[in-house]
Amino acid sequence: MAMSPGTPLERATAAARAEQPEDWPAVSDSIKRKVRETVLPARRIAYVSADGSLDQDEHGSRTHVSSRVLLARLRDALRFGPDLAAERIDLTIGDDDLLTRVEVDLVCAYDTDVRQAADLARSLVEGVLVEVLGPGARPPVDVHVTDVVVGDVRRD
Amino acid sequence: MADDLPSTSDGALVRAARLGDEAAFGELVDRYGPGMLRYARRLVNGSDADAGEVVQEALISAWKSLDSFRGESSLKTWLFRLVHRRAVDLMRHRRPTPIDDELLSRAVKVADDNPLQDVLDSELLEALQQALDELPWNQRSAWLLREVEGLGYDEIALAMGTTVGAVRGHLHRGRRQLAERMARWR
Repeated sequence: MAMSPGTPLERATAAARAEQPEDWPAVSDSIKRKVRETVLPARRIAYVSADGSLDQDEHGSRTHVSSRVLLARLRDALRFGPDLAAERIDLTIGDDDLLTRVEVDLVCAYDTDVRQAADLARSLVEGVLVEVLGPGARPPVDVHVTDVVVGDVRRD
Repeated sequence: MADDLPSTSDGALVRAARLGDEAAFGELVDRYGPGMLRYARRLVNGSDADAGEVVQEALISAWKSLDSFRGESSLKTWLFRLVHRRAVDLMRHRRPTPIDDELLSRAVKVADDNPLQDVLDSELLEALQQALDELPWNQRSAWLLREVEGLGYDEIALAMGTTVGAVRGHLHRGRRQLAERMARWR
């Protein structure tokens, strides 16, 4: 049934479309707070000394970093510019808490040299790994370019 | 990210949010949340508390399950589906709601009172809510998604978990019922 302009239902529908929930700011704040409080699954990853040792002193002390922390650092590092962004970052962690492989799916801007983009991404990842997990953290880093977008990958 | 790039696409925000970027997800929350809350409120009989609960649960669920969003529908449709599911769950536990059209047995009041020439929006919205409350659930949902939120038939079908043909039927009956109920305001 078509609604003719000016009918009560037409006017009510227009009012409903224009309605902005007054309590939205409070609901939004509550959602964002709960998101921050949501603990996503994470694993601990061992810090690795330059000699490849996990032990940080003669007593066998070890340092661990949450995978959540590492992922956040990698995500920020890979937000490099308009030409590439990470779509997925997978960490493989062994039973000894050692990071054994990093896999990154990349989205590149159209016309980007994908090989250069992959090399850049790998270099950025390796830099973060050393910074966060220590000079001995040198796992293989696999980079896959999985998608291209027209425009700025940060926006499009 | 969200602050720097106000025109960021859904896809770019989803990419960032999947990697744990809370600010990116926050932008999606503010982009689609008001419409989700508006839809939920009209769907759950105008209850502010129930609507807020439904939308919060839907968006927290979205945050936890972004990996399951495959882009087969628009993000907006996916989010409205989450709202719809939670509203269905909530209403099932709160009060009986007619689901089948045959169960609709309320008499439609005839518009026999004096006409209101200049009805305030708030009064119209209140009347609309009363009329919506009298509709079977599926008609109410389909009508809101189409006429207020602007979703296409296929998107509504995805959001409601039904077929396009069923959506057409719900819309046809819902529009007719609402027009009859709102005619009293003419």
